[in-house]
Amino acid sequence: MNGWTEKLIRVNLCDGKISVEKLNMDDAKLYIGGRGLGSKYLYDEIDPEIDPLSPKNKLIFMTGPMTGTYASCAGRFNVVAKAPLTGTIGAANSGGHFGPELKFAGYDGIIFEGKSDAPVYLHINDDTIELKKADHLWGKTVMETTDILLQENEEDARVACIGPAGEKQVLFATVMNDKDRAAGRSGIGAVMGSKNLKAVIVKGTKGVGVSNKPDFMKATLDSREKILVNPVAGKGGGLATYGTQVLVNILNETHALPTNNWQTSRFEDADKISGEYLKEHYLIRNKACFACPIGCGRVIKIPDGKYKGIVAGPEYEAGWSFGASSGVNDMNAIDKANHVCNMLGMDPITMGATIACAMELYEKGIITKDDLGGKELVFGDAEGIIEWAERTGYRDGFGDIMALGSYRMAEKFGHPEYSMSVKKQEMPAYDGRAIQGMALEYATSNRGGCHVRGYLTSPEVLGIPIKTDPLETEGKAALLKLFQDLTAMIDSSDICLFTTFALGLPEIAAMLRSTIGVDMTDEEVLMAGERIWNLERLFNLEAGFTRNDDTLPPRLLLEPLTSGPAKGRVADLDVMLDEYYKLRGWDEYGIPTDEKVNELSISVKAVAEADF
Amino acid sequence: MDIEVRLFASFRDNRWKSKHLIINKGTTIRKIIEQIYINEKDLGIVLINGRHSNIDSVLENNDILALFPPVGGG
Amino acid sequence: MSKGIVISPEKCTGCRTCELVCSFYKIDEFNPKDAAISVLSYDEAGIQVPMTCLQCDEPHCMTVCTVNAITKDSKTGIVHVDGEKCIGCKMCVSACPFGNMTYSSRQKKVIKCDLCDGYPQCVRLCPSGALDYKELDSSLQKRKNIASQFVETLREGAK
Repeated sequence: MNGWTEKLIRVNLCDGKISVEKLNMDDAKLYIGGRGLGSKYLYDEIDPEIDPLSPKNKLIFMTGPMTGTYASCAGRFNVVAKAPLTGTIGAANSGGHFGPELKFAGYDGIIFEGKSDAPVYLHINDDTIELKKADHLWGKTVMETTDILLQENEEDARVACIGPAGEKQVLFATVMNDKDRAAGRSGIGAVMGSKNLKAVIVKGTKGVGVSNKPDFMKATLDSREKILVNPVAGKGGGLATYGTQVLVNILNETHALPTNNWQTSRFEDADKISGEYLKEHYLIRNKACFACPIGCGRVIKIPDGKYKGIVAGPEYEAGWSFGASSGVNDMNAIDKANHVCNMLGMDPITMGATIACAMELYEKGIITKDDLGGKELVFGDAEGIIEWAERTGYRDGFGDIMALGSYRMAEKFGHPEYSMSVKKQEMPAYDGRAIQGMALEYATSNRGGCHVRGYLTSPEVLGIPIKTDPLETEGKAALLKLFQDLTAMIDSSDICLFTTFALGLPEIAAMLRSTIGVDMTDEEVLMAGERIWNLERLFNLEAGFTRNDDTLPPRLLLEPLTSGPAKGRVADLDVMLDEYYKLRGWDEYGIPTDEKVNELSISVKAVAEADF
Repeated sequence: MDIEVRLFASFRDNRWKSKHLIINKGTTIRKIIEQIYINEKDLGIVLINGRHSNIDSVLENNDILALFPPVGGG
Repeated sequence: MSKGIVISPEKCTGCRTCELVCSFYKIDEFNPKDAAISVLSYDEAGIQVPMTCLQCDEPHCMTVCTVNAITKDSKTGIVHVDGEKCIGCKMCVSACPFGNMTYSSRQKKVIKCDLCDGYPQCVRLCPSGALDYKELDSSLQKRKNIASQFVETLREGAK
C-alpha cells in the first residue's frame, strides 16, 4: 500500500449508474491528491466555460494519499467543481473525519456527474455503493440530515451533506461534514444542490497503508514533536488555547482589521469579539480533527435563545465577518450567526461580508427600508446578522438577493464597488493596504478573494517563519509564489495548513515520500505545488478570466487607510503584479508560457465534451 | 513620559489587559518587559503604535506598546 | 498492584491518534475499525470518550472462553488472548459488558487491548493527555468506571 487506495467511484446522477474505476496513477504522482488531483480530473473532464450550476459541471470529492494515516493533521479532503460564486476553478477543503472514512471504505475519491431528477444521497459501506432517495431529507438542516442518515444507516458512519442553502443554490453554500466542518468557500455546496444530491454517507472497515513504514513513523513522530513543542501550534500554545480568533487583537492593533465593510481598519470593540473573550465566556473545550495534535476547534455554549446548546464556535474569519466587518461587538450574536451558517450550510465569510456590504449600501441610501421589507440594517446590528443569515439560507425576502453574494447584490443596485470582493468572492479579515503581501495574494488567488491560497499574513504579521515588513512591496511576489506553491502541495496532500506554523517543506515532504513510496526530492514536491497552481490558472484562463480580473476592489486601490502605520497607503498592486507574473514564468497577460507548461509536465488538454 | 502597555493572550494571565506607565526618557521595551516579568523568549509580536518593533526600541511619550506571545490562526 | 490505562475524557479532543497508532502497531496499517481502542463522540455534550479494555479482575470474556484462549497475567493484570488457541466463536465479544472486545472479520480474530505488553502506544502518543498508564491504587480502582458515567457528569457541568 502506498497511501492511495487507487480506486475512484464515479456516479452518473442522470441514469444512476455507479462504477468503480482505477485512479489515474500517472496523474496521482504529478498532482498528488485532494485539490491538485481533483482539479486535474475536473480540468480534463469539463469545459471551463460551462455554467457552474448546470448538469455539465462535475462535483469531485478527493482525498490525498496521507488522508486516513497518522501523518500530522492528515484528515482532510477536498471538494472540487467549477465554482458558482466566482466562475473560477473551485476547491474547498475540510477536516473532521469524513475524508479518512472514505479512504477506509477503499476509495480515494468520488466523481459526481450530471443531475438527478429527484433528491438522492449516496450510501457507501465498503464495497456496497448505492444511490438512495432523499426526499425526506430535503429542507432539513445539516444537523438534522446527519442525525437522520446515521439512524437510517450505520451509526458509526460519516456524513457530508448540504443544508437548505445548498438546496436553494445560495451561491456561497458549503458542503458540510461531521455536522460542523465545512468545505467552505466559493459555493461548492450550490453545485451539490444543483445536482439534487443531498448527502454522502460512508462507512469503511479497510485499512490505509503506507509504503515505507519505519520511515513514515520516523517522519510523522518527528513532525508530531515539532508541532507539540511549537509555541503557536503546540501543547498550551496560542492556537489550542485561543483558537484562530486569537488573531482579532493582533490585526486590530496593527490597524489591519477591516471594519464596517472595510471603511476603516480598526474596530474599537475588537476585544469583545476576540479569542481571549471567546475563551473566557463561551469556550467549553477544544475539538480536534482526525489525526491532529493541535486541536484548534472550539466547542462553545450558546447560553440563551432558540439556538441554546453546545455548538462549534466561529473561526477567526467568521468572527470577523459577522463582527468587525459588520460593526457588531456582541460575541453571543456572532456565535449564533456562525451556527446558523453551519446549520443551513453557508460560508460565514461571504455571508457576514455580504451583510456588511448591505449595511454600507443602506448607510449610503442605495438600498432602503422598502428593499429590506420595512427594516433598518445598520452597522452594529447584532440581531440583524442572525436574522439575515437565516433569511439568506432560506432565500426569504431580501435574503434572496443576499444569496447571490455581495458583488451581485451591490451590482443589482448599481454599485458593485462597495462589494469587497475579488472575482466576486469576498476577501476576509486582513486589509491589503496595511499588509501589502495580502493585497497581491487576494488579487492572484485562483479561487477569488481568499486568505488560504498562500497566507502571507504568517510572515507579514505573525513573523512565521520569518518576519517581513507588511508595508513593503519589494520581495512580496517571490514570497507569495513560494507560499502559493507550498499551500497547493499541502492542500493536495490533504494535510492541514496549520501544520506550517511548526513544519516546513522538508518535514511535510518526508511524510509524503514515505507514504507514497515515490522518491521525490523536496524541490520536486514543491514543484507539484507549482504544477497545481499553473493548472488552476489554465482552467481560469479557459473559463474567460484575464489579467484585468487579477485586481482588487477600488477601495483598496484608491482610498487610503485612515489610521495606523499604513495611514495614507493604498494597495500598491501593479508593481507587485508585474513582478509576480515574471517570477511565475507567465507573460504580461498572466498566461503561462509554453516553456513553463512544459517544464511542469502539464499535459495539454484533450478537449472532452460532456455528453449530457 | 506616559506610555500605554497592552497585553494579549496568555500575557494577560495574572496580569492585566492595559495599563498606563510613567517611564523615563530612553526606556527600551526590554526594560518594560523586565518590569512586568515577561521573558524575552516568550515574546512573539511586539508593536509600537501598531508597527512591528524590536525589543531594544526606545519608547517615546504617548506610545502604545502591544505585546503578544507567539500566536497564529487563519 | 497493577498498572492500567486511566481515561480523562475531559481532556480528549477526539483526534483519534489512539485508534490510529493501535492499529498500526498491531496490524501494520491504519484502520480504526480494527483498533482495540475507540473514541466515542457525544455531540450534544461536546465530549469525546476513549474506550478500551479495562483488564477486569474477573474477566467475563475469560470465563466464557471454552478453549481457554483467554488468560489473565497475575503479575501485570493484562488479560491476554492466545490467537493460536482462539477458534473465533466470538462468545467473548458477547460477554464483555463494555463492548471492549470486538471481532474483525478482515483479520479473522478478536481484537482486545493487551496494553502492548506494558508499553501502550496509545498512551505514549495521545497528544492531549487524555490517556494515562499508571499504577492503580485502591481509590483509582473505584474510579475505573464506564465512560457514560463521565459523560453524564460532564454534561451537567457544561450547563
